[in-house]
Amino acid sequence: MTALLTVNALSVHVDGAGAPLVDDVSFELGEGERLGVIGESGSGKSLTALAVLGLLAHPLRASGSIRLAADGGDVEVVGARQRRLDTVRGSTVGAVFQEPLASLDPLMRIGAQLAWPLRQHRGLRGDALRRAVLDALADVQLAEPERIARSFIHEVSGGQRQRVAIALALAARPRLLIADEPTTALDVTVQAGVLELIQSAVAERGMSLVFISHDLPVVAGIADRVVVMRAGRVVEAGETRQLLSAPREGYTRTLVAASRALDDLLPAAPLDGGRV
Amino acid sequence: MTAATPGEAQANAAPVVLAADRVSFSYGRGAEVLHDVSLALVPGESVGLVGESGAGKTSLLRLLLGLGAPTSGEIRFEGHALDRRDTRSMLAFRRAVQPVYQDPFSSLDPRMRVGDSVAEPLRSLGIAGGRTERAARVTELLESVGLPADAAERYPDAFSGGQRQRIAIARALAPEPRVILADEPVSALDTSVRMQVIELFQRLARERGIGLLLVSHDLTIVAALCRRIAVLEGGIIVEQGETRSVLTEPRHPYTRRLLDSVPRLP
Repeated sequence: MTALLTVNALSVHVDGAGAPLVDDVSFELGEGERLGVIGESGSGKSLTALAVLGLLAHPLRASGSIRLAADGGDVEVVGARQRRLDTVRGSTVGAVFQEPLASLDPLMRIGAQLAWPLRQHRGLRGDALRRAVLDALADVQLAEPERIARSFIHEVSGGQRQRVAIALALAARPRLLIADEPTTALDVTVQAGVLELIQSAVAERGMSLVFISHDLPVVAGIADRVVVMRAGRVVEAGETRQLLSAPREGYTRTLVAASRALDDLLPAAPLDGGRV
Repeated sequence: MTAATPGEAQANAAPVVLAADRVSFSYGRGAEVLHDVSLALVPGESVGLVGESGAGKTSLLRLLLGLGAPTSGEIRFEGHALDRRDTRSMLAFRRAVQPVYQDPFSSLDPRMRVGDSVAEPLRSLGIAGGRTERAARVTELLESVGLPADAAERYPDAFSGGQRQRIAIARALAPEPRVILADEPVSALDTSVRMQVIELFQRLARERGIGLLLVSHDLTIVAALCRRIAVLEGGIIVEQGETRSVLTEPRHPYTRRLLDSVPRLP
């Protein structure tokens, strides 16, 4: 498997001050692989995601190396110019965050926002562009794409917003999707649908996925491999099944035990009738 | 609908402390957000109220806290319909019915020492006592939620999310309430802390015979904590009963859908 993303000795500091917030983090992600990053608040998981996207803002500064295999050759994200990053973001890496409003413009109709990356990265114009916008909305299983395209973001529900954000992240056909707590703010029945959508979108397009969450069952359901972070460092990494059945580090053991204890509270067997 | 009436619950065991009796509610002239809801809380028993955004959980909680009046039906406290204009009985009501909120970062005043926050209900509800008496009470309350006595001298920012929620619980316990209404009390906490706070609630309800209404979107938490469960969808209680039996044999399709949606460990 060729590596699509190689993070090597990544650290994130507050400019000129104290202890690192992300400390010597390394991991690799292969083509088509789904990696989960799990950690509690303050573990550095979101900063790691922002660093990969080249979105760390002053006074945060990354050191080490983040290499992305882009179409025109490898890109070193750490220290790259904005210009260079613009060629990577969207077409190589797309991102979805916990709060869809963070990536959506409240003053622009949803269709117009979606048209922008389609025009920019795929060179679509006119009717072809209009069709692509509606297709993109239909792809994320939004009923009535025409109505959604005409709507402003405040006119649609939380689950629909997150679907729009996913459509936007996928618009330029990236090879890697970074999803940072994408379902944490959603109701549990809505979460189930959005998780299924992310899973199928990634599988159908043969994309790689970095899925960041504090919720072990959610990560376990979507990732082949898991990186466990705590206080800025990677404490353990491995195959999801392996990590759940035989966690090596004390912290991972506590985390797995706590999640297991909560999981055991619900009836074990899936109910007949299955998913609705 | 399978809503047990307060009367039924009463027949079973302890007297009902707080109940919603066929309550409907709408904001202004808007559509009903609660329809014919009945729910009863007895001492020492925990009831989980489960539902998703817009189900009416928060509206029902507001009515049960006496922060609004139902459009029809009544909120009953110790057997009488709650009269929000009756200042004296409302004072007794506020002592007996205490809230705990989701976010301990916003429910505690950052500029107030923890001890003063915990003692605040004693002052505002006129239970006060002298300064030394109050300090002793604060120490006892903090210890009962597993915090050291010197926590009283510090400010909320010195504490983690889980510890802050313990402080909020200590404050709710201060006036020796008969009922605690907790709105998503562990949703903002990390998984490893969540279980500890749940166990704390469990112990307190048992030891002090407090009736607990736990409002949550999380079935797991309710399964952990509550003997009874009520499932709210679109302002209607679609299913209510013993938690065990509702979760193993849900009768309403919505309950089943909720249960199926919970991410599970393989």
